[in-house]
Amino acid sequence: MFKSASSVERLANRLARLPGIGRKSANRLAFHILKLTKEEAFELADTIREVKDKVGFCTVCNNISETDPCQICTDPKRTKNIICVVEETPDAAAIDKAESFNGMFHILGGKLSPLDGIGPDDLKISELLARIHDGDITEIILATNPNVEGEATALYLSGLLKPLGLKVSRIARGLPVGSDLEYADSATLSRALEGRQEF
Amino acid sequence: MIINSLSLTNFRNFEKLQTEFSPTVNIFYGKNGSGKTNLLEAIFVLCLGRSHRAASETVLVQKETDFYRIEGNLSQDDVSIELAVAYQKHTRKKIMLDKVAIKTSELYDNFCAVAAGPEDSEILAGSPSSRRNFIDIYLSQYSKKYLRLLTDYHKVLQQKNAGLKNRVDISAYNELLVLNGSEIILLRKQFLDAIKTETKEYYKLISLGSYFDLLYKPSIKETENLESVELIQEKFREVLENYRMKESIMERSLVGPHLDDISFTINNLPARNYGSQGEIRTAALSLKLAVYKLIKEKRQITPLLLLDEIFAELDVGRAEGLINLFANFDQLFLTTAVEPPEFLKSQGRSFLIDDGKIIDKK
Ligand SMILES: [Zn+2]
Repeated sequence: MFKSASSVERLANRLARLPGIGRKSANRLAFHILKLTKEEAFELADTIREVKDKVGFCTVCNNISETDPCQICTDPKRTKNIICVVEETPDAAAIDKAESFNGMFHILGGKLSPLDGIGPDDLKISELLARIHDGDITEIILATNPNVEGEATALYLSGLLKPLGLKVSRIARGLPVGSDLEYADSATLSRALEGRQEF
Repeated sequence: MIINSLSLTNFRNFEKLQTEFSPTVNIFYGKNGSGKTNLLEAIFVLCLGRSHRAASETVLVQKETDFYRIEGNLSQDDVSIELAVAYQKHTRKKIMLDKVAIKTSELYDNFCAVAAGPEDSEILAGSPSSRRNFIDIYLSQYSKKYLRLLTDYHKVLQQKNAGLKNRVDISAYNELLVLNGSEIILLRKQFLDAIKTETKEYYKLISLGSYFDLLYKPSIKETENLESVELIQEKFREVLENYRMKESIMERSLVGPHLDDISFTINNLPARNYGSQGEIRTAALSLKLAVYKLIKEKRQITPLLLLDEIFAELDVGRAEGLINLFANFDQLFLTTAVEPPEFLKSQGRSFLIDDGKIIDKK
């Protein structure tokens, strides 16, 4: 009895570490999983295992992908010489969904934040520079979020990229200040991309 | 905007309080330390999400408890709303409008309040931070843009300071400080110019002819070319560049609007060093009269008026003259340790306060 209680607790503890899950919801989820049939529970466990086995990061753009390079990087219909730089994968997904951008992406994997100890080395910046060095890139669109950290990241990148002699632009400020790209609607995102301004 | 009712839990020395207000004049009277000033403060916090006199939230929480809650029913143009501000120690403050969480900036979009009291002497005679506090509280109400700029500026500043400590490249933060900070400087310059003109008039009137003046002293050491944001940006960039080495040695930000100051003079002498207590109090009150007038004109909202002990040394005739200077106020809350003047008592309600309780209402 005691032993089973502690493993439910362990499950709840693991779940509570996930973002957006508080102590209470973690307990509820753990008990819900406990009540599943063996088949259902194993299926959930297998799906998690499968995701970790199959899905990784694209070594070109750092996108989450089941193939390497990812589908976007290998799509022959996409324009290869424009790269849109975003903070995280969901931002790229939102821009892609808006269907007004048909170039490449580069996912930084975060944003600069000295307060959280996140510096240039913690982001995929050297990978971006390597892509520019190796490929025939003409324009970089900086599409980090329109908040303090996102703006600082964009400014930092523009300082690195402009001396390389390519066009560096920043998405227009049509987005609500402090908002997340991920949650912006397609029309707003399209406008922000089309109205991008050169640094 | 009118506050119809207020309820407090664990706010300063009020463990529990629930009361209705008059839509016109509300007088809190009682001994010093009874809590009448705390009531004014609670009303200010309810309207603007921050105290006009305390620097930290923690001091607002009643001793030996760990949260406070302020709730009120407010109405404007026949629309009535429920507003609540709650703070739990070690967590974030919560502001709820009709039970929906809102941001502090939304309070500033809808409400205005001007408070005047003995602590205003600090604006003239205290440290630079009390002067910046004064500008920030009232300019945020005067200009809708200001609060957002200030919030962003302080976020950038924190990142820059962390960057200086971690020894990373802070160029991006300097540029963001320039972009946000220059607009802040321009707005402060415009606001203080307007305040100067009005305050001079009020001060001359109340002090029977004396001369008041103020000078905005931005930390970027520029007092002349503050007319356009481009000019300010240029200067700010240059100054930041000059401070680079020093900032990286000191590992903190040494220049910018977070270090701005104002100097006040009375009859051409620095108020801080030469102003008498009476002169400073009168000048501080004139500043608040100016702020009240400016916000009212600009926002087309009559600010709530919170007057703490402003009649302390005045006879009834002068008190009435002073109140009339706050022309056409909507709702007024005031405190007094002495019996409130009859002309005010007859206009609204009086509340006798003792030891964190209302013990009598009239
Ligand atoms: Zn890829």
